[in-house]
Amino acid sequence: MPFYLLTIISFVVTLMLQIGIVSSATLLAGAADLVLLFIVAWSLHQDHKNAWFLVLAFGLIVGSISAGPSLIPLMTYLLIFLAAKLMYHQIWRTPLLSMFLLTFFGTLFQNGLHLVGLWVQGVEFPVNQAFTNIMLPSVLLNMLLVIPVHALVQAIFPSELPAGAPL
Amino acid sequence: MRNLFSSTNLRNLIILLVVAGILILAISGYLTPIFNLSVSPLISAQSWLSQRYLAIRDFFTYPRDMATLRAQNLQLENEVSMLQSKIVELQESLSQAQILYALLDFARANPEHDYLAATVIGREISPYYQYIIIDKGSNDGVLHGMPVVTQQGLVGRVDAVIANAARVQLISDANSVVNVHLQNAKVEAQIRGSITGEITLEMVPQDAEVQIGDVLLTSGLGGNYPPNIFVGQVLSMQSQKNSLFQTGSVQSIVDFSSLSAVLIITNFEAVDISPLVP
Repeated sequence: MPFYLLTIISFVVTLMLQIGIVSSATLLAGAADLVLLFIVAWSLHQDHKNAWFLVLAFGLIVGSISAGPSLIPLMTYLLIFLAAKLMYHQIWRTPLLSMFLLTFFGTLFQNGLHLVGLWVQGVEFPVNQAFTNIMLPSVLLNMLLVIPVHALVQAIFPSELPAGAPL
Repeated sequence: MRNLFSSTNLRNLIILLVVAGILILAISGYLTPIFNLSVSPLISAQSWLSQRYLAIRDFFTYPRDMATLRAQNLQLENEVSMLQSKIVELQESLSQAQILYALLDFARANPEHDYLAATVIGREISPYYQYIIIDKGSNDGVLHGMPVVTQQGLVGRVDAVIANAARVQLISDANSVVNVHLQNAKVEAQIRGSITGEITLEMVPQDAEVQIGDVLLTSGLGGNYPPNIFVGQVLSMQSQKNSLFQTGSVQSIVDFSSLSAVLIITNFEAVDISPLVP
């Protein structure tokens, strides 16, 4: 029970930070996604049976707040969660490396979905501009935040890391 | 008479005369060098004694004073910190007040609309969409489609509403299209946002003479925005011979990245013309 409570509180704080501060701190037109980073780190630091239910809820909440298609955060977070579980059980001895990998590919995946969503909506946009001005800066900002978020989540959920796992 | 000049009286008289003489010499200043000479060692000795005493007293009382000074220093540091935070708080309040005064001036200058002031409390999570979140919702009378402005011009329109908050689509969003009127060229056109937040001017007839710096106002066509709200200025124009319309880029006066307070026009209802669109 404290695990779920702590997770929900952490998620709410992360979401508030994202909406209030992080979204305004842009590099070109890209911005970091603190919620995605939190979900990546959190997924790598716990192995609870019903955790997928929380990921589903987080995806729905972010989807309802965001102006973009609601399914994008849901799909991204679930995919990240599944990949994290796979990594947790296969290459769990390097959670930081897993976090870097998941953040990189998760950000690319989410950005790709957004572009597809815009294309479906009939919005015209130059792909190279989207790539250089939004996608790459977003990936860079997320990668820069990997270590702090990883350390913070590890501090909040210390007992969840597998025994013997290094940073 | 013999008694008058007795040895005792004579001795007393001599003493009296000597004392009187010394007094007269002292009063007239003739004895000053001698006094100085005799007093100087005394003063030096007194100074030395006093300095030693003060040194010994300081030696014994210094730790106590140090502790007092430290306490006072801590207290003063706390007071400085408190005053500094108050200064920051007041500067923030002043900045907020200046924004609100500017919004109030705009509302007074445009009395044809009813306004509701709202504070920007957040931004869209995805960088592909240009939206802001404000702290006024349906409880305050905010409805979907209401235009949002600042003292500098058009910001966007309310896109989604909950009880105590609303999401506003900025005119720089890729899905936003605003019908505008070019004030100098006297032509109708439209502006469209983009995923990076740049605004482009579209549907400008080829024969229209549009100058850089021309002012764009909302035309009111389409029923989404009230007419004659300042939108921005023409930054550049591109004209191709084979295309039907000219295009250009628009510079909005509103700095969307630093929006902190906005006005919602509450007496305007957007017209839904979608059933009329073939």
